[in-house]
Amino acid sequence: MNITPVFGRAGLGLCVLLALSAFSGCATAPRIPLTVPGDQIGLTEVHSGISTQEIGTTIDPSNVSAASGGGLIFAIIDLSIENSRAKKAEQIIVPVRNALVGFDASGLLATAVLQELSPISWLKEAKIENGQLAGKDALDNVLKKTSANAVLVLETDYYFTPKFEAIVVTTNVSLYARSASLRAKAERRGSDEASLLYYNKLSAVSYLPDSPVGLDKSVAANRWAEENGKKAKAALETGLREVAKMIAFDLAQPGTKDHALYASPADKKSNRIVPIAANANGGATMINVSGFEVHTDDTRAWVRTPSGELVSVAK
Amino acid sequence: MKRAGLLCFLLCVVLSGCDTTPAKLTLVSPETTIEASRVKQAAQQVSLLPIEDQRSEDETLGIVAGRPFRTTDLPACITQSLNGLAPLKYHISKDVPQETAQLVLKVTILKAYVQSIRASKVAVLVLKVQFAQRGINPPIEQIVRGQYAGPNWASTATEVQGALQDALQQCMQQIRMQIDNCFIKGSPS
Repeated sequence: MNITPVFGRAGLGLCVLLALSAFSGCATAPRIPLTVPGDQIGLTEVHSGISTQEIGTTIDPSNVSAASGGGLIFAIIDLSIENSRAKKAEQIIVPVRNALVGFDASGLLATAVLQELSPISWLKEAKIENGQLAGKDALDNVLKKTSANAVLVLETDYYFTPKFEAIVVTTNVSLYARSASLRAKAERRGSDEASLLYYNKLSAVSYLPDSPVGLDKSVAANRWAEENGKKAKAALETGLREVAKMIAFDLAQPGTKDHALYASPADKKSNRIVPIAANANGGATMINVSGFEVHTDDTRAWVRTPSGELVSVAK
Repeated sequence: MKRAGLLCFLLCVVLSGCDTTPAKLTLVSPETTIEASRVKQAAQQVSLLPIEDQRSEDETLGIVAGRPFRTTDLPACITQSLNGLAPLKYHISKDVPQETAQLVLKVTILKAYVQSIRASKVAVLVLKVQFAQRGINPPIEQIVRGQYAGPNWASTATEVQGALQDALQQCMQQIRMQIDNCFIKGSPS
């Protein structure tokens, strides 16, 4: 393949800077609480899918440009460092992916979603379609064709944290209004034509068991892959079950007053630090945020972050 | 004036990266310049069974920087790539009868996807290949994995197609090594 350079160094740098500024717009959207009572929603169609065919990787962003005060050259260096990290992560993950080749994450998610959503009164009669809605066009088609009053879309993804110390399962939950009466009560985000009755991002984080902090990435990946991926499979099963439970929990939360993202915590002492993905699809990196516990059981705690996200972590 | 032109061009390049129009990829197998008659005279005859596709969504490839990609011709492209694999040594074709073939290949597509990691794009192809050599039982099964990771410039169909073809070539190299092993050692390693 012949590759011919089109730009000089300055032109390429400018291009990189503009590209980086375009990517910086991909921030996590805050929660929209469900304020419409369930009996007013009525017939709902559910679409649940996993957006990746295999477990994904994330990388730490390079901060050379920020640390040096900016500049085109440093922006190019950042891009180069991040590309190198992405390549390395994709190599390190291979043993885990090979161990998970036959693992049916979609099937597990479908079972868990059916089990957790069926007790919700307005979702009892819901038709659940399993499969990814790839892109806005696919969603628009569903919204146009459906005869239901509302459409609940669950987009699930699963990936490693940048240091391979944890597996994260994330679901973006969007409830779109279809009927005219519901659309009048819904919220529109940006230029999106679809009207949202509810939105939130729910994550479950499972750390590599019995491993010291600061373990080398390759060693950590190999431990996840040991015994035909036993630890990775257990973490994914837990994560998929947890997000399904959190969907049912968060949809059942009472609405808030004055457009608040969520109800204030009753116990201000229950704060804890949890990792979340800094942006949703393709290009996630992890950051630590402080949140408050909203639910605990014997093994796990659910933490509400400032933007309203729910994160499930081991106690 | 020149600067304004350059800036406009660069903006077009950047904005094309924000393109979320679904794209359909047309994969191209590597061209074989060896004459067909010479291919058929190759010493080793390898029968190729129809490619099986086990993906749950057989057209969807995934999303790169917000742009969905799909392809419909992956099985055909894999078949063509195998047909052209070392044509002077092997004649790999569905036309070679299983009864007379020294080796029978069965290829199953397990995964084929593209995705992005920040400003990088990734393409992955995972195949299950069964090598059934005459007189040797049971057949050997091997998972072959090809993958590409590199910068995503503008999420164009051409560059994503190139990434996927790179992954396909890596799979072909691994399959060729195993076929070589079959004929050199008598069985795949």
